[in-house]
Amino acid sequence: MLLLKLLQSLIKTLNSEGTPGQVAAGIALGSVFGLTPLMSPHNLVIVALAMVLNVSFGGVMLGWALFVPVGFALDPVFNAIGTQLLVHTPALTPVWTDWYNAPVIALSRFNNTIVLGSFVFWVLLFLPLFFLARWGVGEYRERVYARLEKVRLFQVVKASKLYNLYKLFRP
Amino acid sequence: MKRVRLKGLIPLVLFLVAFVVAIWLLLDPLVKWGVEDVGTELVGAKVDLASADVHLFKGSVTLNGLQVTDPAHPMTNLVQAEQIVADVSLAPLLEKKLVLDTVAVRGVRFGTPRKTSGALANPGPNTGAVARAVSDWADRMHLPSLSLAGLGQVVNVAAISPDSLTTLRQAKQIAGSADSAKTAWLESLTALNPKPHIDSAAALAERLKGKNIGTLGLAGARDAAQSVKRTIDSLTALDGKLKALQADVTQGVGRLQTGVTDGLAAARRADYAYARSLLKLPAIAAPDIGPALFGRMVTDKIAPLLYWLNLAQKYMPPGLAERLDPGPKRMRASGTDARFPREHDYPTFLLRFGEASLSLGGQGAAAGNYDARVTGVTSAPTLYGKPTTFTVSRTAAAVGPTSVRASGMLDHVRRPLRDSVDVSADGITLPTVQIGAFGATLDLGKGSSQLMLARTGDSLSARWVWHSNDVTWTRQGGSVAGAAGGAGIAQAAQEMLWNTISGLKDVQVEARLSGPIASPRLAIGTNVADAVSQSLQRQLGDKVKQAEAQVRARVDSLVASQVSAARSAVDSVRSTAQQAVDEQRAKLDQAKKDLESRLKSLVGGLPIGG
Repeated sequence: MLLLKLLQSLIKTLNSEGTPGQVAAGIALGSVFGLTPLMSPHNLVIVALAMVLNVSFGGVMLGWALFVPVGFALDPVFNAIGTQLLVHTPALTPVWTDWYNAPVIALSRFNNTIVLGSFVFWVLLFLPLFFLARWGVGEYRERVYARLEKVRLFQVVKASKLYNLYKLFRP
Repeated sequence: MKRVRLKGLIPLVLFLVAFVVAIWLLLDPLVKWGVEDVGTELVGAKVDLASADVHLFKGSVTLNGLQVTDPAHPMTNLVQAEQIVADVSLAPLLEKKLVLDTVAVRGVRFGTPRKTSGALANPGPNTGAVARAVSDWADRMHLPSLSLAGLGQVVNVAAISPDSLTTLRQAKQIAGSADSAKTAWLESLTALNPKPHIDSAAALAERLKGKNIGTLGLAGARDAAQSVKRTIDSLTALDGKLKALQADVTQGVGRLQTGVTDGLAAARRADYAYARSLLKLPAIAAPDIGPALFGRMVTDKIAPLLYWLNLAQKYMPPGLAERLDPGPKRMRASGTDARFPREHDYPTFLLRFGEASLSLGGQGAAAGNYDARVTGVTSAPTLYGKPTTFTVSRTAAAVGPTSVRASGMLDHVRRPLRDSVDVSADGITLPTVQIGAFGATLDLGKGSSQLMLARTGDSLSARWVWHSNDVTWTRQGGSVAGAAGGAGIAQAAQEMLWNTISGLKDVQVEARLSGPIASPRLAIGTNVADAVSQSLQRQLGDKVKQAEAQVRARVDSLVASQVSAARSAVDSVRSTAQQAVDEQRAKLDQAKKDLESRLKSLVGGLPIGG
C-alpha cells in the first residue's frame, strides 16, 4: 500500500503542471525531511518555506519519501560529520558556545551530532540535487511520459482520488 | 513566474495554529513522559508519574503521584511523592535550559509497596549504571569471615601446595636476577679492560723509580713528566668508568639483598596467612573480628550513600569543559549531544531552592514529620558558583524522645570535588545482624546512629557509629556451619562465645572507611569483637597458636632450600662481581698514586712538563 502511494506520488508529481524547476526545488526541499531527524525544529521552517515558496508540494513529498531510507542509511556518516564539527574543530567552538547559549537557536538541537551532520549534508546536497532533479524531470517528460501514458496501470493510478487532492497544491 | 505563493500562507497559518494547539494539548503528557523516561534512565528502575499539569505562561509545573522504584527491590518504591509544585523561569526555556526557582514537595514517603513490579524488562546499557557500579563496589569489598568450623579439624599441613607459595616464586626470581646481573657486570668489567692500563702505569712508575732532573736532564725530565701526566689522565678517565660500574653494582647488590631480607620476609608472611586460611582457623584478634561480624552491615549502609554521591558526581560535574552525552532516543541513530556551557549563562538545569515535607508513618521511633531543604542543585556547579546544600530536620515526632538531623554539602564548583554528609539520629531502630559463626542474631534495638562522611576527589573518609544499650541476642540453634562430625571443639567454642556475647546488653559499633573510594580500608571497632577476641584468646589461644606453628613450620620447610639458593646467589654476586670491581679500582688507585709520586720527584717543584 505504501509502495503504491509512493508510486502515485511519483507519477503525479513528475507529470504535474509545475515546471521541472518547481518540482526539482520541491524535491530538494523535501529531502531535508528524510535526511535529517523529522522532529527537529528546523523542519518547521522548511515546511513554512515549502508552503510559501512557489515550489511543487508534490515534489516536497516525493523528496521526503525518497530520502527517508537514505537518511537511515547515512546516519553513521552524519554522526561523523557532526562529531567532526562539534567536537574536533576547536575553531568552531566559540560559534557553538554562542549558539548553545542563545535563545531560540538553542532549541534547534544543532548540538546533536546527527542533527548537525545531516543538516550540513543536506545544505551541501541542495544545489546538486536541485539541478539533477530538474534535468531528470525534463528528460522524463520529454522521453518517458509519452510511452507511459499508454500503460493501463499508469492510467489507473493517475485517475485516483488522491490525484485530485494533490492538484490543490499543484504549482 | 512568481517565486512566492501567497495563497500558501493560508495553509501555513492553519498548520502553525494546529501545531501550537497540538503542543498545548500534548504538553502535559510530554512532560509526564519526559519525567518518567529521564527518571528511569537515572535510577535504573521504573519511575511513574500519575499526571503532570503545566501552566507555561504562569511558569508553573505540578507533578502528581510520583513513584520511584527501588532498583534493588522492584516491588517497593524508593520514594513516593504526592505532589511536586515547581516555579519555572520562562526566559531560560528559550535556551532549552530548565531553571526552577522553587520546588515544593508534599507527601513524601519512603519504602512504600508497589502494585506492579518496577523492574525494567530491557534496560539500556547506560540505565542504572551508577547503581550497578555501587553494587559492584559493595561486592568487591573484602570482608574476612569468622568461622569456628576449622577448630574441629585435624591440621592437614599436606594441603599446603608449594605452587601457591609466593616465597618460592620470589626466591627463584631473585636467584635468576642475581645470576644475570652478575654476568652483566662481569661483562662490563671485561669490556673496560683496566688491567693493561694499570700494568702499563705500574711499568712506567717502575722505570722512573729513582730518576730526577739531575739524571735525566731538563729535556728528559720534561718528556718523562708529560708522559706521566698523560698516563694519570688516562687512569682518571678509566677510574670514572669503574666508579660508575662500582656504583651500579653496589646499588644492584643492595636491591638484591633487600629482596632477600624484606621481600622474602613479606612473602613468607603472606604464605603464612595463605596456609592459615586453608585451616579455616578463626581470627582471634579484635581488629579482624570486627569486620567479620559487622562488615556486611556497614557496606550495606554505606553503599546507598555512595550511590547518591556517585550520581551527583556524574550529573553535577565541575568545570566548564564541553560535555558529551548520548542523544535522545529515536527510531534513527541517537548521535551525541555536545554541551557548551559558558560563564554567566544559565546551566542546563538549576534548582535554586527546594523544600519537601516528609512524613514517616507507623508507630516506629522514626515516625513523624520532617522538613527537608535543598539549594543549588544544578547540572553545572561551576556556572552556578555555589555548592549544593541540604538539610533534613524533624518537625514533629510521633513516638519517642528522638531527634533526627542531617545536613550535607556537595561542592562541585571546582576540582577536587568536596562532598560532606553529617547525619545524627537518636532513638531510631537500628539494624538486626546475623552472626553465623555464633549461630546468633543480634537485634540492636533502638539506639543512636551518627555518620560523618567526607569525600575529597577520589578519597573517602567516613565514620559511622551505632550505639544501643537495648540489644537482644537470639540463638538460632543448629551446629557450627561447615563443621563435620566430631567437631566437638568447634561446638564447645560456639557455646563459649554464646555465653560471652549473650551477656552483652550495651553494644557499640564504630566503622571507619578511609582511602580511595574504589578500594577503601575498612576498620570496625566494637566491644562485641573485643569480648569475642578476649574469650577466644583465653580459651583457644594455645590451640590456635599450636596449629599456626605447624603451618609455619610446613611453609618454612617448603621454601627453605629455594630461599637458601637465593641468598647464595646474592652472596655470589657480592663476592665475585663487586669484589672484582673493587679490586680493579684499588689497583688503579695505587698505580695513580705511584705515578703522582714519580712526577713530584721528576719535576722537584719546577714548572716543567706542561
